[in-house]
Amino acid sequence: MASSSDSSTPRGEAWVWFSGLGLIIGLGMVVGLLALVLMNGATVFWAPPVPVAQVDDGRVLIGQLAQRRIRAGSPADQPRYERQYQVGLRELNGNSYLWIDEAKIKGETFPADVLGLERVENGPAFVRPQTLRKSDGKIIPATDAAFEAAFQAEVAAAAAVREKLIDITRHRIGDVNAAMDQARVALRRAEDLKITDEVAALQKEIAQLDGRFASLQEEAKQVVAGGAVASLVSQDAAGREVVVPLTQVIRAWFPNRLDTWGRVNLFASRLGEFIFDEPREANTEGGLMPAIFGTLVMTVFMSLLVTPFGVITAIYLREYAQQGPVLRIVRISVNNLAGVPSIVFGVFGLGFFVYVLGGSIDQLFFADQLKYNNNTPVFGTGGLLWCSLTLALMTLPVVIVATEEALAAVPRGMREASLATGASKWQTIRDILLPASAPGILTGVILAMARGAGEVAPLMLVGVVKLAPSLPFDGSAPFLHLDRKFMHLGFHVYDLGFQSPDSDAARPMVFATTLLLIVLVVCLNLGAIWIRNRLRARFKGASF
Amino acid sequence: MSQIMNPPSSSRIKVRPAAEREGRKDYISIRDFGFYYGAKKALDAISLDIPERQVVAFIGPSGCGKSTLLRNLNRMNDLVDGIRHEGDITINGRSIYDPGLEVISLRRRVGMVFQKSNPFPKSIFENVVYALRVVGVRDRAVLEEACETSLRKAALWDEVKDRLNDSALGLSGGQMQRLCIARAIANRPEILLMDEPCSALDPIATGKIEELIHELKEQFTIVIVTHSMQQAARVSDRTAFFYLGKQIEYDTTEKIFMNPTQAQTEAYISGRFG
Amino acid sequence: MQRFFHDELRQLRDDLILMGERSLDMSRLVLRAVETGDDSLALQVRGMDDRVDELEKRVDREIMRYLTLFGPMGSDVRLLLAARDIGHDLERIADEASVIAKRAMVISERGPLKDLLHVPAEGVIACEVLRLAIDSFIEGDLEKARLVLRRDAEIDALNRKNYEELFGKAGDVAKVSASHVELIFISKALERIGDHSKNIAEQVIFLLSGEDVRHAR
Repeated sequence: MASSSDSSTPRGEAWVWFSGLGLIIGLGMVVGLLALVLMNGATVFWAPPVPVAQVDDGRVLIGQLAQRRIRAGSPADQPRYERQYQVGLRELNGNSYLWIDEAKIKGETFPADVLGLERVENGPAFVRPQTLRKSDGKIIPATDAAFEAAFQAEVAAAAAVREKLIDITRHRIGDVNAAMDQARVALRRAEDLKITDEVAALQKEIAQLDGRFASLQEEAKQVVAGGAVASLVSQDAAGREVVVPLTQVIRAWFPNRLDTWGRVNLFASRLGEFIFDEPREANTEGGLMPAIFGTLVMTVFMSLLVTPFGVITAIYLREYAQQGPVLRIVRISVNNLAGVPSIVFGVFGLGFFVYVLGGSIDQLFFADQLKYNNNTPVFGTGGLLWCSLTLALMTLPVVIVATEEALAAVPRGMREASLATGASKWQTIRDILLPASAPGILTGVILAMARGAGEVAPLMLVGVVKLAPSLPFDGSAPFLHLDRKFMHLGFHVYDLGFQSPDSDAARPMVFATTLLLIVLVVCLNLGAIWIRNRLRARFKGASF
Repeated sequence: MSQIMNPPSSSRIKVRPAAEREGRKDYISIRDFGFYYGAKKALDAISLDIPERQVVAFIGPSGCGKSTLLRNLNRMNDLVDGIRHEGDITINGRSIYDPGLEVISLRRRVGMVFQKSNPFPKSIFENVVYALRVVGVRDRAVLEEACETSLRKAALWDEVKDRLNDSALGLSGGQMQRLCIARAIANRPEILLMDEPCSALDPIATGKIEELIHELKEQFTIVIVTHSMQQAARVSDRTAFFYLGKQIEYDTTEKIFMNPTQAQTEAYISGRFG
Repeated sequence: MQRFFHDELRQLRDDLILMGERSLDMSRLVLRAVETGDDSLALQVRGMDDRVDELEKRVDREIMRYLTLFGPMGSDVRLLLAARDIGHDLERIADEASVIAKRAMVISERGPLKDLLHVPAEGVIACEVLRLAIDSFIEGDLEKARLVLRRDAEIDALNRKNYEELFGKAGDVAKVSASHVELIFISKALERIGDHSKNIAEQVIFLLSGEDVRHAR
């Protein structure tokens, strides 16, 4: 007897649609986030044409269009817009950015002679060049046909001079200063302990270093004086004269003359600078190399710390510990550790790792240094080691749980076969169980890395700074400096967004930095996933 | 037709008849052995002697305790919590429960093959030599020679000699089980325990493994648990029939299957059980 | 794939062939004993009967063991069943040869018989037919087996002729001596040997073709 409910649609079909909808919403959110960040971030590097705008109160301004929004308080049916222009020349205009009511703009033109400059100090500038004074003294007016070529040549030459100067002052003088500091500390210690021949030797060394310092300074002066510096004389929007020595110029471009290929080139060049150069202007300009590097080093070091701890703990919990109420409590505690807010870990890291452990290490191993170096702590303050340890502690439960699951998933037959061959429990774990569960363990490490790379709050307490004088991993022994403070992308975002003096200048960088952070984490994950796939292929038959 | 009248000879090696092969009569001696899982009594007063270089089959319906008894011979049941035993099992005169005896050394002298073949996710070579590595052998030449010997004894050498470094998981079911046998005999144990080794295999693979058992009995003492009476009849020299944890009858295979003493045995082998 | 227990079929076959050769030897020997009146030959034949009996028991044990332990199928089953009957027939042949030997010794006690009727001829054919039957088994030759079935009639004919010549037309009882009566027994025994050979051939046909040709008229 066929009834109306006897249809051939399987039951529960509606739930399939629901779950599909959920997936779409989730994916949509992720894609939306990425698109938002991408759009806002990428526009930082793009160079559109720059207008010369006439405002109805007689002002003229030259600037790149940054934002456009609805004026506050404008009626809903007839919205009024305002525009933000990046005009640069902060030293003259007070502010790099300017909001203008759109209705007040009478007209815009795009003259071909508008020049954009990225400068070492005081941010960008948009000017109309008048004359170029070359380093050999010749003067070329802007209207001259050879102007652009000569100009770019001079900019390149000036950049070379600047590079040389940086090499002398920052790197070589920096090295001499560091050596001198060490020698002075040793001298004070030798004097204190009254080791006379060492005192004499150190004093001679300091004298030598002084000499080198003086000669380096001479060299620097010569470089500066040697080439007479070229400069550019231009007019700003208001007609004031602006003289820019070309050593100040990082990049120059004619925004209204570029074709698409030129703009793409410029985009690539800026992107490269962003990733590989060091920051300037309180982190609002320049590149993020130290922050990228610091994030990478810390994440990798954290993974190297958390993996053995997590794996060994999981092995003990699953294989050796007595099953019973105590074990259950331990397991619950480990799982709860995953829910503790990250800032709490930061406080723990500060209190225990930095003050207690770090202080003890300083007392035991660096007592001399403290005494003779104005009590500057080595490990008693935040640094790479404490940051990595804190985050390792935070991500430990993830690794423990993943390892336990992977171990449990190894088929019982394999374990029995190994034991029946006469292997001890440890041999079974080492030779059979661990290799078979390696893909699962790596999954846990991937999750831990992803979580650790994104946490910022605890890091602020235990060793991340806005601007670090040196990288935590460099060419000087012992190569990995566990005591140094470092820069971190996540902290950079926070710092830019909330702590920078010029919030308008910082805004585009916030998005760009966020984008970079996402890309970095994705790359780390992809690397780990690739390793895991290789392991899976080798141990096909493993269930993870 | 002439095949029926003139079948060619089968065995690769000369296997002596049971009486000629038999060594020490009480090589494995089980005396009044009782076994408990917690409160449940799984084995009740089992007493039997397994002579050297004989194949002994344990048969009986499901749950009769044959696998439990087998797993006690290499103390694999120690892995289960809450177990208890009475009586004793001795191998070559020494009790396996002797406190001075390390379980690990017992298991190195008693190899085991399981119902579901369980090769490690490693290469074929590494699987076979695992037992040797476990006892500390490192010399590559020694390992390679032992690998070849074991694989030849397990009738697998010709099939895998060119791909020793390939993953063991790429073999067929029958090949995997022979690999497990090779692994179990690599360290030259004296005794080989087999827990329903062919139950997951097709008749051809099963036949190959039975041929293997027939050859191995020239060197090893073999105890095999099987739910197939026909297999026990084909392969074993002596058979023990168990029911509900008790030993019902233990005698030569011919006696058990042609003219058993106990009525229960007769009922089981003629299929009139239950 | 040859299994290790298939070797036991070989052993069975070899034992059967041994039985056949023994029975054939006994038949030939006893025939010479009848012809020459040599008692020592007759005694030898009687001694050989024990060995054939032992072989029959051994063959039966082997068959029973193989059936129980190795679960044969197909042509192996026919081989085992045929082997049981062939062994039985061969043992009966050996018994008949033994009986002939006893009768021959009785005859020679009374003094040699001049006229042996057709018994020697019958004996020769009986041995030939037995040889054919055994060969058909050894070689797996259906033709030889069928030939055995046809030639058995010759033995029956010669046996009847012996009867007729002795007791035939006129019922001339006075001419029949005790020794002649023994001769008739010998003739009957030879006829029975022929029958057993026929049975063996029937079993061989069954083994090779699956066809049951017994009791055909």
